[in-house]
Amino acid sequence: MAIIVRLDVMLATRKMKSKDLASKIGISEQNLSLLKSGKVRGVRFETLAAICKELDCQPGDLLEFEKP
Amino acid sequence: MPNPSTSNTFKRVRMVSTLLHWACAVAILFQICVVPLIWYAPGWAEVSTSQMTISLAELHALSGWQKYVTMAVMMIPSLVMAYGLYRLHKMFVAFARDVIFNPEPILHLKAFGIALLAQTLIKPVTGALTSVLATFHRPEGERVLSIGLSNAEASTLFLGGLIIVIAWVLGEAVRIDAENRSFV
Repeated sequence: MAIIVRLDVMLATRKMKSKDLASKIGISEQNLSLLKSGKVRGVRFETLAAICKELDCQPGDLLEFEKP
Repeated sequence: MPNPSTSNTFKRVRMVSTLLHWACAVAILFQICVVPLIWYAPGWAEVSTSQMTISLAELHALSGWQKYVTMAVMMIPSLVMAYGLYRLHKMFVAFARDVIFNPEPILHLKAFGIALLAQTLIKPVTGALTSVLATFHRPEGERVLSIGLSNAEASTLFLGGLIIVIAWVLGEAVRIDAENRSFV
């Protein structure tokens, strides 16, 4: 996929565990794990906003477009 | 997070589906028993056979192979409908178990629509065949080929088509739901 999810990098930078982020934004750990690995077809703006709020970052810090 | 009004709707769907799957089971039993009842309980059948192509008296006068072949031919539309109702029963069982946005119940609905169309198209043919079989023993010139068509058949064809189209639309809804579930 051309869109790369950088959530694991952001989590490491903020020293936050996936489990904690999942409970704070109200999604399951399984879904967060799928998001981290880029195995989802899409991200809701609502989820993206909640992640950005918790990690104090911008959507661009979490998602990156890679030219094929 | 599930919407409370959506949860209530699904609760109602489950409740009504539970009732309807029992209603379908009764209807299947009726479809299977209706022809034998016409033969073996003559008084009961006076009203339900008003659209038959030959009279009940003529049917009861039959004997030997004619009796069994006519009975078998008369059962064809009922068995087609019983199969359609069986698929509808399976759909309601799935709905009652909360299997709603899933391809399986939608396929059952589509099969019911096809069975309804097939039964409606088969009925005039088996009706004509019944009249031929029932009057086959008569001398030449007294044999009958009777074809019965009514507005009810046209309405049922329309209903069958409608159910098939609804099944297609629901199939698309299932696809959209699956896509929505793959979003986090």
